[in-house]
Amino acid sequence: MISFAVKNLVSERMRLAISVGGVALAVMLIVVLRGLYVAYETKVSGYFERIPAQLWVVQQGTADFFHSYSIVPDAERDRIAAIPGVVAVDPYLARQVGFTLHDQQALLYVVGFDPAAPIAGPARIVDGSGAPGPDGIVIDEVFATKHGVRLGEHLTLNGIPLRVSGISSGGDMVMFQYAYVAIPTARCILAMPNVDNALLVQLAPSANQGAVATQIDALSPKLAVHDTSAVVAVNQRVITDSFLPVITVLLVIGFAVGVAVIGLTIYSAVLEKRREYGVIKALGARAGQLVVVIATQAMLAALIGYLLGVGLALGARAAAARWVPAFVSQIRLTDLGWIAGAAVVMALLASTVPLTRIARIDPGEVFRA
Amino acid sequence: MTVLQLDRVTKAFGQGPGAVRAVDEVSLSVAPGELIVIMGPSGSGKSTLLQLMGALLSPTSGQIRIQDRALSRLGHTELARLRLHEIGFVFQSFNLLGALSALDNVAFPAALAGVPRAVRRDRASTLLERLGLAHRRAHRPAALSGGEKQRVAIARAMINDPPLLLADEPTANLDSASGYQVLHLLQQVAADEHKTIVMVTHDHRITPVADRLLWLADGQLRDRETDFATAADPVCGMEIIIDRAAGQRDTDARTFYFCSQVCLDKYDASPLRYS
Repeated sequence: MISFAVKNLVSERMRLAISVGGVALAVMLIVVLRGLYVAYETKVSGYFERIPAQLWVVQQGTADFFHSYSIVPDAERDRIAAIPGVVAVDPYLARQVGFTLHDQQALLYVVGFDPAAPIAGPARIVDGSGAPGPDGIVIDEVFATKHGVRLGEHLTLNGIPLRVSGISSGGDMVMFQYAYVAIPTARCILAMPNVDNALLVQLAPSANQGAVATQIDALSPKLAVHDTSAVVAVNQRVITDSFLPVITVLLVIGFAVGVAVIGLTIYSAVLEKRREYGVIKALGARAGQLVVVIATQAMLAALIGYLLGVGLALGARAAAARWVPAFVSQIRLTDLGWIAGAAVVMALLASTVPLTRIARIDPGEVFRA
Repeated sequence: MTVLQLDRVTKAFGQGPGAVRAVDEVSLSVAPGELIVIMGPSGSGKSTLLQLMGALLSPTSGQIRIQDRALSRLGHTELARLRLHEIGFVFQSFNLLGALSALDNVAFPAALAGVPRAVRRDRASTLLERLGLAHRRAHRPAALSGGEKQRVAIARAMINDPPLLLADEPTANLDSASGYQVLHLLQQVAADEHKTIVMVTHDHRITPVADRLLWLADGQLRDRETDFATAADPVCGMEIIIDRAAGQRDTDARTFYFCSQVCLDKYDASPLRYS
């Protein structure tokens, strides 16, 4: 039956091409959207996960670093550093800054860090130096490509001229990109001479994280303490809450398109070959064998379409990386696995309508000339 | 022992006074190895009778037995199994599967029956060779002539070695030479393989090969054509049974019989035109 199903499907090349093409486009849409979502999520969490602090001290009531503004007095660093088990307390200064670049508005998320102990600094340096001086700035490669900024060029942020001394990677948040300056420079740009946005607390390996957090909490009712996983989770939620519903709708549309394309092409094939299916029934095919014939055809169209769709998605991603640097897509094997499962479900759902039609075919029709 | 037995089988379509009895109280016993030809005019119920014999249609009343198994006691799955193993079909329009080669078409019912691939292909090759089609085994139906298609269909009907072959107008779509070839092939199959063959047709060339010739008209079976007094409707030209005519008109020289009131009205409107 499988051999017959395959030959039946392959004998109609144009119909097969339409069916496979439709599924491939649907799968490509699903893979790219899922990749986009994962890339957003990873980029947001990746930056925070890289910072080696175990505890983050922020202003009470701070939600996330993108939607709320935390102010912590820098003087608290000494009080926290005195708590047993604390190894280091570093200031975290970070804020979006808008400025004019090449006569256009540009946006950077400026982070202050200590080049000597770069715990909140750039992930990787792809060009130039990773240790900016007082008048230096490290910008992300996506920002550099998008705005045509080169090493040695000057940017003016809040009236302070800064020379691009390095280009980094891993700081693209899609809607904006990270830039890194020395802490004293950040205090000037952000106008935060003696306050920080957060304090990054590193603990000794033997320290009791919960006990230290309780002691920090007790220092001031205006402070809140979170561990890194909580900070990652709350900042990831910015992405999941904003994009997940939209992406879910698009994924459902992609899935529905796939089901509709396979279903319609197989259904039209059944209509066209209804006499042949009548013959098969007349010859003595069992219902299960007809299910195998239809499901195999749908499954084959779905799987070929799936492979083509994944290939197209990988091609689209490679092309986008070259021509549209802001476009991000992270395709994971686990996602390809469940999308393959979705393609199988597409095929099974798409089989139901043609099977219903076949069930209604009267095998006696074959006696009509 | 009978291969096929019909006992007062009736098939009516519709209900109440408007019901049409396509097959009307037909009884028939067919012995193993017998070649029966059923003839009759168009609309006489031949195809309906063949569908009933082929377990593709349930009778309104009466009993059908194949190899002593009453069809009324079988469910859908058992009927399908019976068609697969006990009956071979040969259709007027060949009904080969367009995507498959001649060999795969012949082997198809064996695939449905779960025969291993190598065995069924070997069996199909042997059949095609016997029917003189070994050189056409790889061709699809579109590349075969009408006679070749029908020979492939006969091979397909025989692949599962069923005791009963049902053939619906097997020569209707063939030229004279191909028609005779198919006819002799069926005759040879019945003789050599001891197969029972029931053929419905209105091709008079077939009558000499029949062990028994039956006539069907208005759903009723007779042993001889002359059991029916028939006449041609002068308006539509259809051959009708005089006893069942919708009406008659006598002229000086002869009597005309009509199939329906429509033809009768047309005749009355202009009798000279049809006289």
